[in-house]
Amino acid sequence: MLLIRALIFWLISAMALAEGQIPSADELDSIFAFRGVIYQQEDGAGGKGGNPDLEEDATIYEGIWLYQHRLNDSQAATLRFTGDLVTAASYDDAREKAETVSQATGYNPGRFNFELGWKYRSYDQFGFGLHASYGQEYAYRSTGYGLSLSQSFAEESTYIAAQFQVFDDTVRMIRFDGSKEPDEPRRTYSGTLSWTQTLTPLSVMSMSWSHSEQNGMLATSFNSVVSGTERVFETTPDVRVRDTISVRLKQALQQNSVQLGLSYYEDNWDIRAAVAEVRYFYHLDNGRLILEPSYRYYHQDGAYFYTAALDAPERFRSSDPDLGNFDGHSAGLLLSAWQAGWFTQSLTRYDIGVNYYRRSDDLNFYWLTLGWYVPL
Amino acid sequence: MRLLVILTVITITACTPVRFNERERLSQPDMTFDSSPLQGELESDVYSAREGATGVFSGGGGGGCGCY
Repeated sequence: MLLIRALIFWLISAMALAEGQIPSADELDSIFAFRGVIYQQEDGAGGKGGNPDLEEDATIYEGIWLYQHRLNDSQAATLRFTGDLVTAASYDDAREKAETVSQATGYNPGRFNFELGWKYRSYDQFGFGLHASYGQEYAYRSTGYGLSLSQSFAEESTYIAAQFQVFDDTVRMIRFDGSKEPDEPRRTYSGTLSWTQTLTPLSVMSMSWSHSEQNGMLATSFNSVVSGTERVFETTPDVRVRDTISVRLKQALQQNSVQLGLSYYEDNWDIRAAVAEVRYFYHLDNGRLILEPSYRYYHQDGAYFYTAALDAPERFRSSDPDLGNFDGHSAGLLLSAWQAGWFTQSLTRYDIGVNYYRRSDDLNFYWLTLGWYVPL
Repeated sequence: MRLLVILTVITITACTPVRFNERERLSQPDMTFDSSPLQGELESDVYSAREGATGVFSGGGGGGCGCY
């Protein structure tokens, strides 16, 4: 009897593989996923874009590895590792080459972050999750804790989720001229409420509200501002309250689908931002090949203390162009292919993509993406 | 902001119950908002490092990294 059952299981699995069925995902399934990015920002040795007083060239290699193991019908454990190599202007470089500073990476350009998580989902579709993380980079240490709750209703037509996170961070106070001060704390409390609603057999929408509060050392310790004929430290308020609301809509169009998104952000530093995004999912080869072109528009009104340069020092000041006024246009193309995997009977997803971001202050950048997703 | 509220109200009031057996198309990977578990996270990392806003189409905001 056992042999017959095993034979039937093998036949069904083989038929599924032969027909190339893309596995339907369950949030507790065992998976392995990798995502890598190569990010390049070119400032033409300073002066080309962003703040003309800052050197803002940057190259970043980032990889994220995720392993999720299903423990039983209702629980799963996750392990996530993020690693970065960052090459940018640093205070070490500044002392040697007399360049101004935009990022502190120093002689140690690495960053890593570990996260351990646990998920639970009951038979009546109640979900609960916990995670804890630790990350470190040249001038920064971070410990994070998170909790998530979710519930599905109406035959899973409605899905409501809440996430809460706390970060307890330590900032190394390395100034742009190489001087050092005692470490400073930075704490972040954030919460997100989201609601996903199936609208019709061909459409689904999602809306979310994200709120966060930060206190402590919120300036970038190594950033500087030109004040008259000298250079002074960046200083910002020590409290920041941020809110974001987002709406996304997904609509199936025969074999293909389109996704629209709108978002609005504001904080007590007077930064206001709006985002509009459109993605199209073009299916080829019965959905085993997906071409995903995307476009994203971003508009930002800068912080009230942002300035390119000062005549005399103000209490709060920053020349970081990321806190200034600008518009951004981002276009991307992602190609995803489902192919037979090396060590699993399930189909494996491979991704390759490119994005280009053009800013109105001419501080442009692009990034390449590689992805690998294996249902285990 | 006003546009978002209007769009949301119109969308929600227009919805009708969708039964389990009507969701064949919705179950396909491209009909989930984050079909790859890391794609949205990675994009969010890139955007939040270069923009003042955080939490756009994702949760969290502002902690755990050396950026703003």
